Order: sequence, then structure tokens, then C-alpha cells
Amino acid sequence: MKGLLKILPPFAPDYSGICSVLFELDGLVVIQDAGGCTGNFTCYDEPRWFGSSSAVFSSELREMDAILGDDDKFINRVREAALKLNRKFIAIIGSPAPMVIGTDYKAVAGIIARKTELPTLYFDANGIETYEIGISMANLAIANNLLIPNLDGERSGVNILGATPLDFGNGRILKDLKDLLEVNGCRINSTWGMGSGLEEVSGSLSASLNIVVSWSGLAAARLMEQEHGIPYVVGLPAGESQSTAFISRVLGKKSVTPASGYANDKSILILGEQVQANSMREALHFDSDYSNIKVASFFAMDEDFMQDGDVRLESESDLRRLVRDNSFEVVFGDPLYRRFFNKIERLYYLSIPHVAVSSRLFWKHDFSLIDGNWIEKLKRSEYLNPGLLVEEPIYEDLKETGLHDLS
Amino acid sequence: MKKIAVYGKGGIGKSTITSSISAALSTMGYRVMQIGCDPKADSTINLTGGRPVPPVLTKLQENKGHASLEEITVEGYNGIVCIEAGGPTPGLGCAGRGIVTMFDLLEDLKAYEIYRPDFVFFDVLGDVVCGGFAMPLRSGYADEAIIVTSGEKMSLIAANNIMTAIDNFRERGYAGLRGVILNRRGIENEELLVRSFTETAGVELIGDIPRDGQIQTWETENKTVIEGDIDSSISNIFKMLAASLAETNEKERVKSA
Repeated sequence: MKGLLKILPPFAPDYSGICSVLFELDGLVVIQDAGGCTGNFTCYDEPRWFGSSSAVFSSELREMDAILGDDDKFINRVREAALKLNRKFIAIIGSPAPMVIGTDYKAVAGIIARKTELPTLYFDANGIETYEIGISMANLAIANNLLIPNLDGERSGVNILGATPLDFGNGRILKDLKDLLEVNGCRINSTWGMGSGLEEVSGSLSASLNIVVSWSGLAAARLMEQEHGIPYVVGLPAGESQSTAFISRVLGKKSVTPASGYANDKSILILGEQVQANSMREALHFDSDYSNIKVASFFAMDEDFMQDGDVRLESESDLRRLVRDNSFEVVFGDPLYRRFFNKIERLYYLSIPHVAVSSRLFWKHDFSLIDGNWIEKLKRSEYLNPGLLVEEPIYEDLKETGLHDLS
Repeated sequence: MKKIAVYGKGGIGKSTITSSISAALSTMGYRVMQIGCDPKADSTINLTGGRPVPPVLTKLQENKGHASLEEITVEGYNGIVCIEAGGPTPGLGCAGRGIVTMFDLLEDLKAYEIYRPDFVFFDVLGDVVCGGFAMPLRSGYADEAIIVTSGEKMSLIAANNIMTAIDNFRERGYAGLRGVILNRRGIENEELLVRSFTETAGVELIGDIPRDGQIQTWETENKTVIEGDIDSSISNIFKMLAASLAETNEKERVKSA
């Protein structure tokens, strides 16, 4: 019961992460479910779904199909759809019901591949793991199955790994990253999961560097470094000084770390996806005098990128404990986390929507990491209203939903 | 490494025969792992001298989804690595799903890479009743299956069901059928009945285990006949059967090399 969410809505699950990565790749994507899992992805986890022509389907698994283990029905449905739709590959994805009956996706995918003569990926998702695990699985599947060898050996440009709307919403942060890369003469070969089709993604081995923008891109980047010798850089540009340091790392130049001045020991918590949160921490170190900053996340965190005091949260009670044991004065996080801090009287809370947490509630909102306004706002607020509660505008949206006030 | 799944009607003697073959192979110098895939968790009891093997699923529940190899293995007779899946409270839960979970855990813990057994036996509960009990047959798990049967009608019907399942799975690249072992119950024309069955089905009768009171005698001491009296006539039969499995394995290994 430890993982039971009593205040927060269910986080986006693994199958949504997988679908999100495959969304723009022109595949036939089929979730083996009764329909609810597919509906969850299309209605609540995927801003691109509305108006898109992406082929994401439910297999419409029914009670008797599960009881009798009627995999043939599933196989034939996928085959029929593959014949009707001109798709480049097939992906079959698990969900809770087939997990319980132990569906053998590897065997089913093998049969489908033979019957359709299309590359068929399979994902043993179970709907219990969270979205970032699914994104990581899908990125690894791409790295293992869909990349075309770089025959001429020439390498240039970069790939961006780990992007999906589940972490990047409307894509503003990614757009800022791409603009920064291009201004600095860095060609973008592909952006996996968000912005590139199959042709671009499968040509990723011609790049000279991978940029990992979320935890979910790490495993594929490490695999590509190990098997193809493509190095990787982890991070996002955030604020002026950190962005300069970031682009220097991308370009392989030495960067000068700005000297930190007077240390402001105000206790700060960044609650969110690890790579984004780390980049924000770095920016706060560089562009302000804040030095007491913790990162916490309900989602996977890589130990190599954790600092002392960072916390991987496994339950709401972990977050309650973290809030109780620390006197946070500044918090950055999804609007839905706001309620955990209601008892703190003097708090600066900047809402940064995370689609994997608050779904479509705030996914239209723009947030720019690179412009550094979020740092300036914090500094200005502290100067003008030292010690006073400040709510950033997006919190007004939350008030409209009433979700902040549940008790 | 050769992985063999042993199927057959409930109560037909799968665990007794599997344990005796495991024991015989271990005396020939092979490293053996025996995995009981039955909620009763009693497949390996005659290899451990009655020492209970902590069931994998119980450990997972106690440890909130985690378990180490040290917690779920017991070293039995002659170094045989013994593992028991265990399962739900009778009448509740899903034993088949339990088998899937155990296999996932063994893979996560890299059990085969760490113990590096020459032979792995999956002693599977009864019939291939659902996906969970077909798990040992899946690609990457057992290389082949053995069916234990007597000449009794219900046992042969169960054997036929298992063969049908294995045949249905051919398209999936699952384990094929190595052969049938006759475990005699002393019924009339037993050998003839089973030979007729195997010939009709086109499978090999790879073993013929006579009724022998020594098996039960040593079982009361939680031992296989191999451990109890390695030179007895019934032990010699198990040793011959083990030698034939090892020989086939060696021939295949040389051929693939």
C-alpha cells in the first residue's frame, strides 16, 4: 500500500511513455488492453493526439480472450490493420490484464513479424511502472532495432534523446534548446520522441554526440556510446550562465564555471524530472547566490547525477516526510504538488507543469528554462517581499480546478 | 547448459523422478539446478534432506517485491541448487502468474549466469493448464520438455494434452518434446499401453522406471535412491537415464560447436 496515491492522481504509466516515443514514427502501435489504457494515453497523456493521424490502437482485449488465452485473435487483428494501413513497423505493448495472464509478447511479436513481414517490436509493459520506464524501454528498442549503420563513418550533428510531451509539454523547453544549438552552429540530426520521424531517428548513428534531456534517454545514450562510440552530454540549458556552460560542453570547449558569490542558504526544493531539475539547480548556483538546493522526484533518478540530500520519492508519505524534515522556503514543482506545502506559511512556489503528473490540466502552459526569468522572479520576489508567501500565476489555474483545496 | 521442463499428471511421480535424475547427474560431476514450479513447494524435498526451501513468492511478499539469490536457494545433495516457486494460498490468487514472476526474478538476479549449471530441471505442476504453467516452455527458458506418465488412462490423457500444447507452441519457437518417461504403476500391459501411445504420437520413450519399494523407503528419510543407495538396481536405472540425457546433451553440444 506504500505506493498508494491519496492526493495525487495516478502518474502516467509505462505504456504511455512507450506510445509517446513511438508517436511520430509512422508505426502501427497496439496496446493489448480492453481500451482504457489506450484511452488514458490518447486523452490524458498525449497532447499531440488531438488532430493527429498517428496509428495508436487498442486490441480490445475482452474477458473471454484473456481467460481462454486467445492470442490468435490479437495476432489476426494486428495483421489485418497492418495490411490496411501502410505503416513502417509494428509495436505491441502490454498492459495490466495481459501481464496478469503472462502473455508472451516475444512469441506473439515473432508470429506477427512473420505474418506481416514488418519489423515488430514488443514491450512487456504492465501499467504499474511509471512513464519514464516506458520511455526508456522504447528508446532502448529504437537503439537496438531501428538504427541504420553509419556506413561512411562520417559523424556530425547531435541527437536529442529523452524528449516526450510527458516531460516537455508543449515543447517550449526543447525549442529553446534547439535554437541555442543552431545559433551555435550545431546541427540537429534527430529528436527522439518529439519532432523527428522514423527516417531521422534511424539515421542517428551519423551524429557525433547525443544530448540526453531526461533520465529516460540515459540508457539508450549509454548503449550508443558503448556499441557505437557516440558520446553523450546530459542536461538542458537553463538561465544565462548555465546555458553558456552547457553549450560549451556540447561543443567540447572548456567552460568557465562562474564563481559563486555570497551563499544564500534559503532552503530550495526542485521537485520533478531529474535532468531538468539538475539543470535548474545548476542555473540557480550560477545565476544567483542560492546554494542549499535539493532535488526530489517520484520518478527514476540516476545515482551518478544525484547529490547529497537528493531524494527518490516512492510514496506520498516520502514527500510528506521530506517536507516535514526540511524547512523549504522555495519550491519548484508541478502545481499538483502544491498541496503538500500548504502548512508552510512563508513559501515561494513556482509551478512548473509536468504532464506525467498533472496530465492535460496545464499542458498548454509555456515555461522557459533558458530565459532565466524564473530565477529573476525569485530574486525579485525576495527583494520586494522578503519572507512573504508568493504564488506564481499558474497557481490561479489550479485554484479553478479546486484540486489545491482537497482535504 | 541444458534446461529441461518435466510435465505430467499430478501425483505421477514427476518430483521423485526429477530429483533422482538430478541426483544421478550430480554424481556424474555435473552442476545441477532443480526448480520446483508448484505452489506446494515440495519438488526438492528429497534433495535437501527435508530442509525446506524458502518459496520465492513467499520471500517476494515478505520483502515487498525483492529477494536475493541467497534467500531463495538451498544447496542440496551433492551441491544441487534447489529453488521452489511456491504459490498462493490454496483457492486464492493465481499460481500460474506466480511462475511467471519467479522466472522474471531468476532472470533479474542472473541465477543461471551466477550458478552456471550444466542442467536445469523445471519440475512443473501437472498439466499445461494456463500461460503461467507454459512459462518454462517459452523461448529462452527450457530447451526441451519431458513428460512423465504411467499406463493409466488419465495419465495418458494428461500426457496427450501436454503434447498438444507443445505442438501448438511450435510456431512460437517454444521448447520441443524430448520424450516420455514411463513411471510404472503396475497395471496390466502397462509397457504395451505406453509404447503404443508414444509410437502413435511419434515420440521417444526415453525411460522406464519400475515400481521399487526402495524409492518410498528412502523418501521417508527425505532422500533420493541415489543418495540412499547409489548401487541399488533402481539407482542404476536412474543413472542410465541421466547418462543418456548427458550423452544427448554432449552430442548436441559438439554438433553445435
